[in-house]
Amino acid sequence: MRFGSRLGIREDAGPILGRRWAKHAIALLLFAAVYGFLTYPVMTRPKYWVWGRPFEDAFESIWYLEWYKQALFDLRVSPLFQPDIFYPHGWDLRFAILPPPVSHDARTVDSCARVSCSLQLRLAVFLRLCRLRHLLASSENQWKLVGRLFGRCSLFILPAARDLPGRASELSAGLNVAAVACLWGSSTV
Amino acid sequence: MQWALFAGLALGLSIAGAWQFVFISGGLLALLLVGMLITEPKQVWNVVFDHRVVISFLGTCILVVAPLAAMMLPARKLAVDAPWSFGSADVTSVHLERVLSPSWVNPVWWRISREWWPLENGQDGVVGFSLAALGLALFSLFRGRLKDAASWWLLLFGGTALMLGLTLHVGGHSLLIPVPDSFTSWVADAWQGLSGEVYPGHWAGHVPVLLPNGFAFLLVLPYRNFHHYGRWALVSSLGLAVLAAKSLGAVSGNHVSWKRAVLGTTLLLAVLFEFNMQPAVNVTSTADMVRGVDAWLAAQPERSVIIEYPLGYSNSGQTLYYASFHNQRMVHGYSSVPPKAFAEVRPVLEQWPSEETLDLLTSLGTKYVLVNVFAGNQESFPDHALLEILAHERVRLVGRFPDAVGSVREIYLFELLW
Repeated sequence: MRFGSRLGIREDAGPILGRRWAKHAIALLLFAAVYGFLTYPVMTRPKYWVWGRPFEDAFESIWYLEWYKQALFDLRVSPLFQPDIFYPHGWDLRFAILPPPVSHDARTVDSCARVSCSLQLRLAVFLRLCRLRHLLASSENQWKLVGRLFGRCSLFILPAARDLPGRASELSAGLNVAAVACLWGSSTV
Repeated sequence: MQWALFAGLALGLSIAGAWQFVFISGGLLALLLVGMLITEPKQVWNVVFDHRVVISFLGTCILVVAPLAAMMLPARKLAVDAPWSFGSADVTSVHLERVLSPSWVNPVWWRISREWWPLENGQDGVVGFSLAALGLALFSLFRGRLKDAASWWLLLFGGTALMLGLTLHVGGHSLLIPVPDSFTSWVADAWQGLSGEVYPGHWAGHVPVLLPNGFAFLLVLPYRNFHHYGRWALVSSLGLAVLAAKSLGAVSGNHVSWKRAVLGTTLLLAVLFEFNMQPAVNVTSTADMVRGVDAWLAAQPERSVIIEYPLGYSNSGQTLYYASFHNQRMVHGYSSVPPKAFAEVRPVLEQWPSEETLDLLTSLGTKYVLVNVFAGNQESFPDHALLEILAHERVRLVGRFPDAVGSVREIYLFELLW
């Protein structure tokens, strides 16, 4: 078996742009370019630039990550309770926003908490890979579509949800872009 | 089977993640179910009564939720910390016209949504619908495809109805309908019985247009934990996106490949233009967030208890960020749903610098009080507010820090003498 076949790439697909993996790569590059444009200048120095004004939640997100790290690795205490905020009663973070197990997307939240395009990018690319149009072609497949959209979108949303709940506009943008993009993509696949 | 697994996982993670997502996930599932019942009752019947699907859904949900529920439920009951009154929740309702407003992240429309037509608290979430996608979705109506997409239209309208909040707001105010006094008094009694609050005085002789959320607020106690109804846009946007996709699919289906590509590209660019964020107008450098007062506090030999005024300012995102630098214990904090203990003492804390506030702060062990002075108050502060604060013998001025961050121009640091 040839190397390309083992990777699931059709060796007889003709010109490079006609191959399936190349189309996915083009989609990724396209959205990476859009991501880069829309997130400039934050993407150039993610440690020093924050998308948001000083009083906005982006800075809260940074504190969360700092606290999780400190609690888990330095203090070795539960990150779900912060005794020094709202002192003397402390702050029960189980009732705050999002516990750490879900916030694995640390880099995005840390550096670009307000960068809606990260979500757009991931949703758009993922939904494009879902080949939405193919699913929509048959009404019988609506159940699959519901499951995939709801389930997978939620899974994508939740990791970034540390900052998302009040920012549904980001999701709107992401889904709208995704809907158009995946149709555009699937029409040529 | 697969969708049930995903739905269960999503719902479970929602519950594990944030109280508010419980409602969003539940609402989304309910709307989808109703939509499917209308359009494809036979399939719903088959799926709902397929024991494998039900077991998958419940099993996944329980597996995800169980560890957190085990921690949470014995500790407190749902909504025990929710301080939202009907009035405070109602001001976060999204005004009807906002649904068709352009994206606020686009600098082109920045002045529209920030200056000419200011956003109310909680409305940010909604001002993000793509008008291009909405137009495309509406196009499907003219194609006679309503029946095919009924469940998605239901999702869009249902989510939008939830998104609008507790009562219908138009033009910046609640839409009020004049009614006879006898009817108002009956409504007021019912209102007090259900909500436990007095019927708002400015609604006298009128009744508001209660939206589904309004009824839920009055009848379902845990739902009072929900705030910022624009978050229901999560549901609306799902319907909108799929409708746009279906419509575009129908439009492009009969064209040759290059025409479909041109059409898709044009629409994609239209959507991207709506959500363009360049040139970025609200990027903050962390270097500009450095405060001298934090360094001073961090340099003290012992950790102390502090509070930062005004509370309306310190109850926002940056207050936690600064905590990483000063490393002190804080009486204040920032949370969408503040702890009950803090919510109870906040009215007294707000009276700073009264004797009652000083007594409370002393009893809480507070040593330092930070007072932020904003642009516009900088000149008058030393002659008025500062004198009022220093009139108390228990308060000593420690220093004045020229920490200009955002609208803050300087910070006064006081020590409470016990």
